[in-house]
Amino acid sequence: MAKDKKFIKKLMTKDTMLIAAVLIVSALLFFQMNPSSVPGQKTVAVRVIHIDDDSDMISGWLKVGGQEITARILSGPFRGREITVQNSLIGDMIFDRYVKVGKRAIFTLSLKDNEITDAKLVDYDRQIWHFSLFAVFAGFLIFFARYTGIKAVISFIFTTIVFVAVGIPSILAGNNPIAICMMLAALFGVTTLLLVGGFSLRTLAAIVGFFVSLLLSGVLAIIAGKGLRLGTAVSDIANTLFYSGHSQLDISGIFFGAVILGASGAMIDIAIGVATSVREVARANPALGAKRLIFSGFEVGRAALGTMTTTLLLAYVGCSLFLFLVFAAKTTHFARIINFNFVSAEILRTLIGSIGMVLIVPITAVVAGFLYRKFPIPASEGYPGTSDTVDNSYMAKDRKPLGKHTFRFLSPDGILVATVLIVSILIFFSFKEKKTGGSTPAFARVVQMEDHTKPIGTLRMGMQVVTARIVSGPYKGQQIKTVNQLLGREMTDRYVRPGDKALFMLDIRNGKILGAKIVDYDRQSWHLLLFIIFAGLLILFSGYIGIKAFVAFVFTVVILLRSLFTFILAGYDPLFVCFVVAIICGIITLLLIGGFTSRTLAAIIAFAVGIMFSAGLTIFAGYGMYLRGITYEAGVFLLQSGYPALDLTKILLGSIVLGASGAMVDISISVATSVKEVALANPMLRIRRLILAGFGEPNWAP
Amino acid sequence: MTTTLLLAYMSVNIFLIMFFTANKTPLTSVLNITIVSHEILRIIAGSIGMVIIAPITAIVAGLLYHNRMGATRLRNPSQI
Repeated sequence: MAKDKKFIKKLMTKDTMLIAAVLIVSALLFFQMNPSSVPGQKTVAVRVIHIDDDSDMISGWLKVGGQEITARILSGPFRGREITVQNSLIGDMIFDRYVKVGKRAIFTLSLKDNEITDAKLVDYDRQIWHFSLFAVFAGFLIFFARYTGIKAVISFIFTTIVFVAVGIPSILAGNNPIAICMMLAALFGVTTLLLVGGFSLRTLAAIVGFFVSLLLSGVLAIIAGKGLRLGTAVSDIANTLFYSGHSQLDISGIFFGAVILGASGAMIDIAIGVATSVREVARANPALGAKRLIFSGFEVGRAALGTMTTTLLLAYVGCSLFLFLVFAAKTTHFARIINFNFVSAEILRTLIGSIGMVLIVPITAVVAGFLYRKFPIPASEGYPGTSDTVDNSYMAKDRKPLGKHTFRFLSPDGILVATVLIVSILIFFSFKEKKTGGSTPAFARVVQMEDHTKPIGTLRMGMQVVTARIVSGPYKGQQIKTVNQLLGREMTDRYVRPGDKALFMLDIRNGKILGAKIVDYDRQSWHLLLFIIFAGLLILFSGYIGIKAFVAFVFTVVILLRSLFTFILAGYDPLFVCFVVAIICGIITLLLIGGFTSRTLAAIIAFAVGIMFSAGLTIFAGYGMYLRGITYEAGVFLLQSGYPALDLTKILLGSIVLGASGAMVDISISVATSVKEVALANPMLRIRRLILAGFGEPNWAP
Repeated sequence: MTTTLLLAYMSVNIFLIMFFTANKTPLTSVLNITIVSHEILRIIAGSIGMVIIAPITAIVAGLLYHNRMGATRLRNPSQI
């Protein structure tokens, strides 16, 4: 009995209580999220047993006509019953579903008096695949990271459920979306940090750092967002949502909220990494001053930032690959692409997220430094062999701080940095813009405006006569006058006011401006400003590593911009192109950050193997689930605008591999570094111990 | 680290999730619709990639550094 009581007491720690609480909340929310759906309707899984095909193939694989599908119901009260539905194929690439015999599918049944009156095909049944993938993920995580892995899986589930079951409905209910997203980010941050870091000073430091940085990047996102004048046209689906009866939604607010929320995951990682290292240093030498502790925090933050900066970039480009391909396919002017709403929105997302990541390092380091100074670690928790009276004199001698690297041009490292930078610049400028007719883009500042518009909702309709002075390009200084028609459409209207800088398309013949048209606002100046803030903070906080991280970022942007899209559109296998681009960007980033060392070699080998594994898995699951890339409007547009042979499914799968590659680079270098540290600290260790030391690397599990 | 990709991808798709929630589409349907399925694959396959790379790196780095430390071990055979 006594033993049992002891066991129960052991179980009742704050840690396990927290896990239990998080699990219970997740479960409650999950069951509340899945109500008995719409009355008179039921969604069931079926297996297709027979098909009468009455469809004709038009253009490649697109079919028109109908299918009569007979299927056996596999779930719910009508289990075992066979039903027949008509599935009409209207030649719409997005909404048509062509099913095959023997496959599982999802039907919506219409019910009346407990009898099926009608049924409709929704899509293939992919639940088993989702479930197995999740099981593989959770299994690997728990197998390799044990207890930390369990906590990581719990925080993954909690985040998903709270986002879908609480966040989305409260935004739809009309609450302030930025406030909601901030609260969600704070909640996820606190839960994840508490789960991973326990109830400790380092968690407190990480939470404070996270909150301050969240607030700062939130304010920055809102200011920049207002300047960018994105309106409701931030993405395809946002526009659809707005015009399908949800015009009361604050679309741009939701977008800014999502930008902050999207960056919060990466911020949490860095915060806990920095706070943990400050604690370790304080434990190793409790006599150290706050300044020295803060410095150690910076040190670790720097290393983390080095590879983290391309994580968000690659993740977001992976998500919007179709969008970017459409713009690359249209071969319009670079200035037009970069100032367009959708593209501008993605740039804002990436830069704000990256700035948030950079900001969190100094804030967390300072908070953790002062906290551990204020509440010194008791000697019992210090490393063995340390006491309060550690000889601190070495600090005075060792003025040159750890890892403060001096930049030398003629080291292999310096040569690499310079080469990558030069190659990036060369690739960027080697690209020649195609001339479209006689029109050329130019920025002009509006000096005078006659307004003949009337407000309609948030928009204006009518026309305005605009006089503007050109401020860029060969026609600089000239005045232009144009009529700007506003049709009351968010996507195309650009209402300008005197003093605004806007992008004009000039109609040029024989060196003379015949006419001009306003095509967009000047968003590029805002992008540049954000980019300078990002690069400035990065280099300010991280010094030489910051410069290397910056070069890696620039290189990745240039490769994506000039190689990825070009090669895919040129007809090379998209999956292969994405794979190669991911490998090249990964290797260059690893070499830049890790230098020419064994740990870089280990990270590169592991990265190559890991990305092959993950590409294989993605292909296997993607084809198993009958995923087709054609589901996106942008995909249809690509096929219709002169690229009918593009394999959209492969583009989709490639974009998934590319999006994950940034995160994989991070983890590989941090694990390799920790193995190196252990091997150097004790060269006698057996190989098994060394490998286990890498498994124990705490950074990747949270 | 596992919530990094999750939060990044979910916030990219916030309008998509809102679209289905606003239209009261049943959860079973939503989860199987191709466009949603894409995003689920993106999140989970990406996360699996992140999880699998840690042990691979640990093994490769362990082998590499064990080799490099070989000379040191030979000089101090008594400590093994």
